[in-house]
Amino acid sequence: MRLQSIPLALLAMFTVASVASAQSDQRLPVDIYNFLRVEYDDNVYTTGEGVAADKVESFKIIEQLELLFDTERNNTYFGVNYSPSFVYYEDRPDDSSDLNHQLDLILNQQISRRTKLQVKDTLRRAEEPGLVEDDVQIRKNNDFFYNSLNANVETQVVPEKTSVRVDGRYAVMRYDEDDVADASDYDQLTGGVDLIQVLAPNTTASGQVRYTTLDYETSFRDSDSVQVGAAFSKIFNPKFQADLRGGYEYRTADNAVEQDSHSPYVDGSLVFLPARDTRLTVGAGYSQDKSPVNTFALQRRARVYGSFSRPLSAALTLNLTGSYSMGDFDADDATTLYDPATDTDGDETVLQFSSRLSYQVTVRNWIQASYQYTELESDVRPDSDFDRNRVSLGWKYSL
Amino acid sequence: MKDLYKIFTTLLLPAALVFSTPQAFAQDGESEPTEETESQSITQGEAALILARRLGFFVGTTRPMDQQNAVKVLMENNIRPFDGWKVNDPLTVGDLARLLVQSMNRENEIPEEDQSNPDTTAYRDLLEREYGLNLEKIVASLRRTGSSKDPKGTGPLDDTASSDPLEGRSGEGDVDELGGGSPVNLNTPLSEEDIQAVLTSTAPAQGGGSSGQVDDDADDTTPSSPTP
Repeated sequence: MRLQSIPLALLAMFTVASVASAQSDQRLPVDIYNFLRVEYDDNVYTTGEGVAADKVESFKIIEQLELLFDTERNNTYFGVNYSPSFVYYEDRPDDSSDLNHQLDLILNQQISRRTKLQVKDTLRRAEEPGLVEDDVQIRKNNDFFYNSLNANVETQVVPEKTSVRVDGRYAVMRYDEDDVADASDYDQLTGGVDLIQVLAPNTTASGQVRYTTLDYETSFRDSDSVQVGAAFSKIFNPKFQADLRGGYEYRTADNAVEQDSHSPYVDGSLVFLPARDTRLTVGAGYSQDKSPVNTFALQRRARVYGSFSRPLSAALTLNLTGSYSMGDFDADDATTLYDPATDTDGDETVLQFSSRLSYQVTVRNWIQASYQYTELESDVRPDSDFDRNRVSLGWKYSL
Repeated sequence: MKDLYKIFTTLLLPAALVFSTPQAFAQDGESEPTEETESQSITQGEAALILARRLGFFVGTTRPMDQQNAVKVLMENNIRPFDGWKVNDPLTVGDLARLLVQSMNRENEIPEEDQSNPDTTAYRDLLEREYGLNLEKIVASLRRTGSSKDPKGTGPLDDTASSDPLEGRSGEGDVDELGGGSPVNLNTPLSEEDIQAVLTSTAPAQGGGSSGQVDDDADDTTPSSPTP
């Protein structure tokens, strides 16, 4: 982003927020939040020790708007969440700013007494510049566009007891830089059917089938897969809820050493409400998943995650989240690009942790302090190993 | 292009300064935002009118149905927020809990030391204990919590949150990764929709209202409104 665009972008966003505030006496059906924060980032390019470049640290100013709109008329509900953010780096060579966008849409339509339709769309646009040092490209430009469109129709075959739901999803990932796009652009199309049975007022079970086709720009990681399984959800009491999903997946990858692979999958989560306003969520899962490198068609990944939220006082709230995943890359899943002389199979682990304290100064103003840690260690792409710390302090207010 | 940029910034800068939000710093109390600058929050005066109507205080009277008379009739029945009625102030969750308990003639069950404490949860606890009415959950279910901003890493580390290929994370991006949105607590201002949703969940006993007993089968574990 050019230097002249920085004040323009900042002023434009602030003016949108200000004018909307001035118009608020007309009771626009829009909620507006503004979040301004200063952040210290010790690794803005996510570089690791194995590359010929030092970590670049920088302070950042992040200005983020959130515009929330929803409306409900008769049998139709429509909601929009749009959040642009502008990031200015005090010390990032060559490109000192990013402009990112997040857009979420949802439409719920009650077609009849027994049938409903839902459509959701998720769009992300982010800038992630490359890093060149001493005429060596350490990291390529990763600016990307991502969109996921979901739709489902659910109908009660037996009222309040048995339902059938048909789902569809179309997701695309597009990178701006040609080299990166050639390797990593993909289209994913998924169709699914669920047969849902209410076993008791707080208990449901369902049989599920999923079919997914995954096409990359270059076909090394293309695959088709079928999942067959079941899901179970139960609210034991107002303070405890559990969800479980499991089954078997069959995957075909034409460019892998072993073209056909199969594996069980499982996902489980528990939600506890141990005290008033306190929420604890823990979960774990295992499944075959997309591969981040084109030397392997897939990975088998296990993950655990958790989150905790609790008010420390009437105005002070603490949020903690964390996740750990380990992916296994087997030589049988290698693609035709895999070269035993230079590539290796193995594991890849990702660790993420974040914490946030929110203090409500007035009914419209919050002060937020946060810390985030991210770490990647990989046998299959060791040059991508990194760790990153980010600390921020910000002011959030609603208009 | 340069001229256009200068004109644009020349117009934008004073507009931003003029319309910038000093009212965002308004403190609770005397300098609270006026109705002219109030956004989505319902004021105490507006809430008084809704509550007085629902309680039937205007039935059979010749009083004009307006905020002033609504406040008067509620005060006559010892129904008031912690700091008294301030018609232009936003109504909070804590105040609504108190108003509902008072309208049900059950304030005598609240400890005396809590009856004047705005930070108390006693009113809210009574509503949940006796009527299964959790105000925060009702209000939170009406709010967008920003749950779409799932925690995510830097760069294309992981775009799946589940084994289900119909679910996926929102992609990558170096923006607020913590999600969660703003918490709903005692000081959260309420909108008209919040008030209506709460009043629909209970029928306080007074005036021309019903028995005031919330349905014993009320399910407070499942949000009643779709959320994005």
